[in-house]
Amino acid sequence: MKLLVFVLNNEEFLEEVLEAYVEAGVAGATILDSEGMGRFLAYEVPLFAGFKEFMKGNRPYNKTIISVIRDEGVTEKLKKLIDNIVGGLDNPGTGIMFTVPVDWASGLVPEEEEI
Amino acid sequence: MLTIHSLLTPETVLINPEAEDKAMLVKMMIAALGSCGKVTDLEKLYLDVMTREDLSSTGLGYGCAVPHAHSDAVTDTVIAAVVTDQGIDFNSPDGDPARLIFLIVGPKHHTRLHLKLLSKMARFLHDQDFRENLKQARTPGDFLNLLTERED
Repeated sequence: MKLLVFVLNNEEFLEEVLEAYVEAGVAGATILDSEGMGRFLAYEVPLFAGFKEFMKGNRPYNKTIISVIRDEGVTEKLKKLIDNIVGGLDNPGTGIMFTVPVDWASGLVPEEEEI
Repeated sequence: MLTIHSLLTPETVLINPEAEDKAMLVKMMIAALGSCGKVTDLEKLYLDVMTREDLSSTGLGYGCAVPHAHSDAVTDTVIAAVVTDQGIDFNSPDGDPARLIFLIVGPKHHTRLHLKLLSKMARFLHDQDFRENLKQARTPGDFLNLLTERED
């Protein structure tokens, strides 16, 4: 069992990304409003205001999608779909995806009820 | 390891300089930086620092300020520091005049280093005991010793 975290930089892709989650077999996910560290420092902390010019082109806000994955094949499928949607996660500014092991969980959708 | 004290020299630490306001103080700090041989244009550097000052306050509050700028008028990142008992207005959020001031300047391509230095300095200056000790320094040597002890 893994926790899949995906920081989606371009919020406009959210709908397509969630469709990809369902298509890949992710039973449920939680979507969080999030914000990049650089953006916060440059715009919210006066000491770092001089760095705004380095933020040009960066999106102010992003979405972080977290989900627990039982089948590791899902991650592979999802990665391919997401790459197509956002233009390849290897390209800077598209997003970050990673997994971490989960050794215990409660409240998950029962496996037999998963999509 | 990146250290603040390694970018300072006894010549770039000023104790109670006779400055009446921020503009005069910044000019004195930049003049002091002239001794390090890395400033190619003192006037341009002054204008770059003051342009950044116009953007928003570099006063942190609790009697500290960290004016800074990226500039073509320096060939390397350098720092000057001031301890002043009278205090200088830096338009700080708490309204207190700054008694401990660090000026960081570096070339435009040193962005990452500049960010690290600013963050490290802000972290140090959040430490009440440390900043009050720095404010009590009476010689550049004392000041540098305090910084060196903290960073080593």
